[in-house]
Amino acid sequence: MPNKEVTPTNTPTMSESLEHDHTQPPVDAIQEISPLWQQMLDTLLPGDAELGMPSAFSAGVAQFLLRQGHKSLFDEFLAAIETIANQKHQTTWLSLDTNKRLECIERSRRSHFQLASQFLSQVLRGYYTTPAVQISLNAGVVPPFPQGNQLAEINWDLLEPVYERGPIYREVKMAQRPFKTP
Amino acid sequence: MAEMSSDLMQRTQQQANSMTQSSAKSSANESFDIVIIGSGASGAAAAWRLSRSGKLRILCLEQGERADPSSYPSTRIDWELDREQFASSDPNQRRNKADYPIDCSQSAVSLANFNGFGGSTILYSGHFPRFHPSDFATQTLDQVGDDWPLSYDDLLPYFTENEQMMGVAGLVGDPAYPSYDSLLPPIPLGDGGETLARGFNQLGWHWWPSYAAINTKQHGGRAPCINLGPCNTGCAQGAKGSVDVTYWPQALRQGVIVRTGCQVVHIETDKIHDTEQARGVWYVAADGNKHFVSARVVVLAASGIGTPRLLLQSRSKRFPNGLLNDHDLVGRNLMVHPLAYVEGVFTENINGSLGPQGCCILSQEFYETKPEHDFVRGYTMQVLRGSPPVETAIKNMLLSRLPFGSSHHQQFASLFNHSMGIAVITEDLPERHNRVMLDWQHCDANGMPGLVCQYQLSANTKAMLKHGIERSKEVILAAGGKVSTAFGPVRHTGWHLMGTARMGDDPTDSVVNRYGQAHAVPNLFIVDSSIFVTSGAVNPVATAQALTLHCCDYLERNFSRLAGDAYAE
Repeated sequence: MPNKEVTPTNTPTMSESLEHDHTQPPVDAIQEISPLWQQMLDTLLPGDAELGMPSAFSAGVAQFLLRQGHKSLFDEFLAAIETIANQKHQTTWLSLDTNKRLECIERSRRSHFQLASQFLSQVLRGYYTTPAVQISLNAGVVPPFPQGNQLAEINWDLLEPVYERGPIYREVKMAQRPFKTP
Repeated sequence: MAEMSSDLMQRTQQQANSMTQSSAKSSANESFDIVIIGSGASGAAAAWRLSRSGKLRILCLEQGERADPSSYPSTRIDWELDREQFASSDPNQRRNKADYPIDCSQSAVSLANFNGFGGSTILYSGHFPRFHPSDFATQTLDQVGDDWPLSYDDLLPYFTENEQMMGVAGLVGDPAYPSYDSLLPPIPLGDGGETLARGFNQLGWHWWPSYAAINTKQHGGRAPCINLGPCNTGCAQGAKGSVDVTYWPQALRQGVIVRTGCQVVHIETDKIHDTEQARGVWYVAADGNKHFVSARVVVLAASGIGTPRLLLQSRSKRFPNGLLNDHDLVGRNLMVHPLAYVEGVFTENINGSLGPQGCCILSQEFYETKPEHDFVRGYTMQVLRGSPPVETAIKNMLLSRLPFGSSHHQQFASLFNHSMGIAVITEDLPERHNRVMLDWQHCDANGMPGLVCQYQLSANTKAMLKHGIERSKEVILAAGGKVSTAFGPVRHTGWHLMGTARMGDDPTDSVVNRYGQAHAVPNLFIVDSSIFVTSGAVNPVATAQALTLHCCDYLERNFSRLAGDAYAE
């Protein structure tokens, strides 16, 4: 038969976690990462030593964006930011201090809503799915499978007042039943 | 159908004719006692129940492919990315070969599903409460909707049997239900669940540990839950009761044959001994070739939208408006449980993101009709775990609550693992104008038309959503949190698809009888949530599968009589 039959012997089994290398873009793509990428990404998400959070660039967000095919999105966003910097400050975005850079980015969210939302969402996607960030977040075991997470037993005392109220569902008396099943 | 142009009618008829002609040319048709269409929640339960005696030759045709649990998203660090790709519940976004286009531009809620071996149970959260006794008699009790031709008590043995097969965790003694016999130990509430439970207690409102089709201990040869979290991207552990790991292994051992990548495009009927009978089905296999397989009985279980789609597509001289559509009921009375969402943020870290995402606690304080409400019937408050990292970041960024720059991390730390959500699942009453129709402008990979959904919220539903949002806010506040999000209806939540081929005793007002048997074609059964009369206000799978077992019990007991005419040709 041209289709696939499912049999008891080939039903799915739970195998161990696959080892994927999601951190490396193609070698030629790495060459496209200019210092501007670092400036942009680390302005958005600088590191935080106190919380143990890496900066976006050091976490590998540039590689993520390239791997996902978002180079042109980055370029478009950068062009929009440069336009704003030029209009508001008559200079390049890179020559501004951090506060003014962030101000330009914030403005872009109003003037270029769709583009900015798309780009910034991709940056956050990349950042919060990198191993270094996930581990620092204390977001449970990463990846979740196969180790899983422990949760405490239920505190049964909490249910006492619910029990005490008694039934709250609506009885359907036999006389109200619309039909008798034959 | 009034909405269908004569041009489309002509095209449709041509397609039906083409199927018939191909049938005549085919030289080696296969024959089975029963052909089941769809391998999801109901198709799987039907396959298991009907194959138990070992006497019937059963074939199940599934248009999608089998998912591989070893590559489910939770096996990877970047699992959240897959929620927009493989594990998306939106067929228009997912775009697998088996997915068909669904145009929801005329609908207040967009529809969700998964087409593959195991159906939507692959991506559901496993929240598994039963319908309540009152759900089966809304007309008698509240003068809305319609009464079912059966009752909670009629389904009770099937509820119990189904829960045993699926592996359902929970806690007996819930004041919101008649007693359950037994359940697996409940899913842990976690700090977040206990926080909200205290809020409900503060208000004196009902809450209870969720009913969850999730193993909390070894059951049915499957391992217990290890709190991976994203159950709705597929369970790599196999603890969630998706039917590929519950019903199907047993059904396959009992001899059922399943073919994946096989899309049924036409159910063929013919007049035999003065009665219209199903003869078999046409399907397109993975290689693109059409095949006919004859069957003594056809069982349709293709979901609340897939089932009417196939019926509407299966036109013939006898059924020019679609199979079983003599009274313009197929595709109508669509119910989807419009849903509101309220989220609270708490000062302390409550580890909100840990645990099975959709199963924690539920409240049915406002489930039943109350005279003081400005609506009839009611809703469930289903407590959801807090959002995972990417979702937390993007959602709060878009709401301008999460800045970029040096303050980003501190602010993120105050949000992530500090939140819990409440989904308000409202009872959706049947209305004829809420429907799915064939969309010939957008066809699937095999040229079969997609669907257009027309769905509007009723005034009753709007009042319920508003009430549910306000009550959920009260819970968050009573639990010591701040309300961070509150809105409804949430657009992409149309998972619960019901009512499009309703059951009843009156053939002019229903498509099938109380056993899922088509009024107009006695050896054609519909056994999925299409046949629901009303929607209740809980996730429908527990009730849909109990109904499937009920229907198949009748079918198997009466098989010789039902199949006799069709077989005697």
